[in-house]
Amino acid sequence: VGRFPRLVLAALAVAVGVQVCASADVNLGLVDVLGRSMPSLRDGLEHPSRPAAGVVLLARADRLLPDAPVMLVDVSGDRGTSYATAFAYELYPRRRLYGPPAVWPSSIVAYARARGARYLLVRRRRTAAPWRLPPGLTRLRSTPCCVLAEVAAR
Amino acid sequence: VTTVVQLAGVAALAAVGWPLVGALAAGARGLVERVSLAIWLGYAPLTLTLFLVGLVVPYGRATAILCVLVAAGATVLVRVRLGATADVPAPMAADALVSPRADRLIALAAGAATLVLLAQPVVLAVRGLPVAYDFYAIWGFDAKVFFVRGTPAFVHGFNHAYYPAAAPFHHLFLDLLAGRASSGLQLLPSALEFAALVGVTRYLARRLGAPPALGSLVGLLVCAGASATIFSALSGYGDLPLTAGLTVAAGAGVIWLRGDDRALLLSAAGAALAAWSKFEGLPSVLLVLAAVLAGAHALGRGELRRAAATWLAVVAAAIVPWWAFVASEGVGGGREHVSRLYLEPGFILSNVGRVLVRPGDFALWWPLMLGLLALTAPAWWRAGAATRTLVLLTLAELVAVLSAYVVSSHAGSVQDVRATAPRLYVHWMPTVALAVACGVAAAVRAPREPPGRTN
Repeated sequence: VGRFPRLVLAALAVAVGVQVCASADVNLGLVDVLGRSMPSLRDGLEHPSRPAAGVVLLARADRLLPDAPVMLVDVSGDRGTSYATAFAYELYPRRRLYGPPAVWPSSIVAYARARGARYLLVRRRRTAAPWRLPPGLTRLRSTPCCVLAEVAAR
Repeated sequence: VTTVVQLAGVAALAAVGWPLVGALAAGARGLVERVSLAIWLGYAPLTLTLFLVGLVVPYGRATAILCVLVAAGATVLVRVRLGATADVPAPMAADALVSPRADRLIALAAGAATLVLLAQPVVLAVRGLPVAYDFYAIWGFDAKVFFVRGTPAFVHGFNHAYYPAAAPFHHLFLDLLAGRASSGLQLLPSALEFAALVGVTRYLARRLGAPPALGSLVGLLVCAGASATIFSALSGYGDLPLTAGLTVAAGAGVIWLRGDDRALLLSAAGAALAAWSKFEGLPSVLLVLAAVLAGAHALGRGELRRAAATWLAVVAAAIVPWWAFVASEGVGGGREHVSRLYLEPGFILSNVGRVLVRPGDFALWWPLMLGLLALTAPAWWRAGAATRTLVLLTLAELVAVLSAYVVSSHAGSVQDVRATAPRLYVHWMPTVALAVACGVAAAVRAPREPPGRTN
């Protein structure tokens, strides 16, 4: 084997070795790394113009609170989102309730209780204003554009 | 029950594609290689059948099973009509990368490392990793819509409903088998299909003349792309079938240049899958066709028009029904992706380049592979028109992806380039790995071979 082929084989061995080690290292933190490399999921929750955000929220709720009655409240004012949310309701007909923005925030707790919802998933536009929930709701998780809250018992 | 359904879904793909392996993939050896090819050759026929049958028969579990039978019947007919492929001689000991013994050790080590890396997506799939945004919003959403409505009916005004729909129909098939629409059902099948892509790449590497040990290294490189690869494998987007389709289209196209006539149809089958998988699939495979025809012209092959017509007919059969359906539904056609010219090459280059060297996405994959291609350039350039075509085609496709940002509505946003570039470049990783294999093989063989050998 001549000098050039040896050089190529050595370069190939180094390349494969380095890449496999780097790849394994990157992927060792599996969920963490993928969490970092999947910004689109978080962006999807927080992106004000994404028309499918309602679906994403429901799917998220599906993972966070399987089988729990979650009411989705969309106060963002995005027409596309409201449309998608309405359709998402069609996809999850048994477990999901759709809360119209008109009831936010004054009567939302009574509205949720009346429909058997134990949780609210609220989506709004990203603003600098502090996120205040009305009495009767306890924040569980939140991002700049949405909050998951538990509805207090009567 | 869920795992049984997931495995049954992958088995159905393999059953549909199995007859095509015998008809199109000359020299496929061993169960793993044949099953890998069968899974990806069955993907387009089964999902297309599900789409077309759904236009007349309401969706249900029985419809899914009916579609498997119809698609398998069609592929058996193709196998009967074409007959078996010609024999391809096994590689000889003299064709070793280093020496027969060292090659066996390299292949063993590479195979073990490949299994370890492939275990990662499988473990993540079993754990039910959070699925990405576009799965909920587009690829998985379409499947849910079709499942709930019992027919391929769109939600008008929704995100990109016109996208080529191989992946949504794949997910729908699993939903129908399970009897419920579930966001996580596609994870394990996707992980196994990704493993099949590694098997397909190894087959193509061997047929392109790489010694078996080098083929094993190529398989390892395909699954060693850090988180970008795993994301592409598990996301449920159209990227995984697109990657498989492009790899087969380019690899088999060059095998055709090396004298295997049946490989033209294999290339067309890959191109059909790519065009049926994602919006960018069709322009990408047309570039593949142009490059392969240019290579054939350089090699003095005849009947190029007939070859091109056959290839295009197979691709058209896969995508034209969908276009017709999309047009009849009036759900748009992708104009939102194209903007006025964005002539900021510096911005595009720096942002895309930054993505390609981001450790969390690809680790060092792109600098290392492009470095190997540069190092072996004198060897692959002199190795003949077929090898040269593969490498130049690959580089042209990488530049084409970059150029697409000039007309893309995403080009001006750092965040959008960050979100799209990893996905777009993942599509070409197996083909780049094949090109590297050809370059290395040419460099190692050059001193052993008499001058004047072509392709």
